[in-house]
Amino acid sequence: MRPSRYNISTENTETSELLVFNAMYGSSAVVAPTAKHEAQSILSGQCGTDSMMINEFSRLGFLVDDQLDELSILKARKNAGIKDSNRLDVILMPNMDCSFACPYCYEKHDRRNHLSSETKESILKWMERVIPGHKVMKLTWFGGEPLLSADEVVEITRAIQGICEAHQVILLRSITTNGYHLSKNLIQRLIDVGVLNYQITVDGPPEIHNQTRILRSGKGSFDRIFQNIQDLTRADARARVSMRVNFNHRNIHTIPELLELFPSDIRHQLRVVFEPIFGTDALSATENLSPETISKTIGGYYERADSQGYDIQHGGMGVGKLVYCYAEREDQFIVDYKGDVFKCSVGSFSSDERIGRISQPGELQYEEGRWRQWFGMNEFEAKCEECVFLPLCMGGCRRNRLDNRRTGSYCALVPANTSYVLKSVAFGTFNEILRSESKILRNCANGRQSAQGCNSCHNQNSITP
Amino acid sequence: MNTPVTVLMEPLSESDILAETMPDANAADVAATLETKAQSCVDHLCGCD
Repeated sequence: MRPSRYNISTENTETSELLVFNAMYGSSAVVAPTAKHEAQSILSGQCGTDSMMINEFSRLGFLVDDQLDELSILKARKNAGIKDSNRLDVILMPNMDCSFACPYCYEKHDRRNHLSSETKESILKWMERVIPGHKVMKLTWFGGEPLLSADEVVEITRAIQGICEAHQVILLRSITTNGYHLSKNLIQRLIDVGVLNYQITVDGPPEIHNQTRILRSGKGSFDRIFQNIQDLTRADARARVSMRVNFNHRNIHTIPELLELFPSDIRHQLRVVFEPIFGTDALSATENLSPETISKTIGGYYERADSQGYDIQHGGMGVGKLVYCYAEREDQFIVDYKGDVFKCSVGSFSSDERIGRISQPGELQYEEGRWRQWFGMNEFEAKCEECVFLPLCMGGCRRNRLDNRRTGSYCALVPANTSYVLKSVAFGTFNEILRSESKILRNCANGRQSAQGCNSCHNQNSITP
Repeated sequence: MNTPVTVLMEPLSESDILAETMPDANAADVAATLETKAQSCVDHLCGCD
């Protein structure tokens, strides 16, 4: 037996306990101070004497067979994710137009860039071809601002719903919108076609939000979005809003004030998501705030939001992730208003970057060279193969690997953004995440097991507090 | 007597992890996994999930 290459351990300086986590299978355990040195010896590949501890560590995946090739298992996971035909992900962009002019937006908008009726028909014909054979379809509306094409959103969603029902495919629907155009009438139309999941950005209380979420005229948008979110959540108890706050050094301190504003009766329908503004310029959170400040502050805000009745997603460190992001899956497509098909939702969406296009009869015509280039990479970069976080990350941003030969500008950020625990990985040290995770897990662990005993030799990945 | 090792989280199995991709996967299970499992990127403002 030898230690798994994906063990991460740290000492809790308050209790002197040793926390051990295996990123490969998500197991974690606390070793009492009295047994800490024995555990460290076993996990560092030196001979231990406690056979029960060795057996337990083996059961938990902290120790593995000498011949086990863990990297090959991760490569197999990744390929299973890439080839997974159970799910179909389609992001539709009915326009590349927007009513907002947010200073941090990377898109280029034009009022003329809207879906034509011919392209709409082609997309629906393609849907008829591509949906059968899958078990679940995830339809996401994106833009531009998709609700500037509200009629198309409603009509196409209804049509796709019909296709899915005819082929017994479960349809999941969501929309990313600035929230400005959600009139009561439109809310009802969207609910009628099953669009119940919304992502809407609110960057802070009014005076802050109105500096970044601005209309093309320069006017602020807070009051209207604030009201629309309330109208939406009260229109249907099933409606859920991922309320996203894009933060940097200018607004991070205003988040508590924002959280106070929403009425308590709708907070359980609001999932708060705090996202750093990336980049290298003056607006960047990561350029202007230390990782420790971000980790500590945002972690505290999630706890505050939780205590105030908001929905926050606990846990979820990315254990068992198959691919870095959906763009690594073969059955994932972003289709814009021209019928051009892309993989990644960050980019200029110019036709020369497309990986294919939907033809008039509804066929996806691949740009073979680009498709091959996108999927022709090794599963992981060499440096990732040595990284203890690889099972939680699965190799970094494919686009960045392709364009810049890098795994992402923020490789230190273990890539999954669904929980504040994971934010601790991203911005802090693993010591913090294990403390947070153990705090959560201690509260809900049902069966605690113990072991005493010994024998074996190994290699430990340790992050010192 | 205090036990020296307290398990906080049991390991997943490889079949648990790959279940969503299996040909015999139940559609409702695939949907539930899709809605809950972390599969986002954090590099971008795109809001992808």
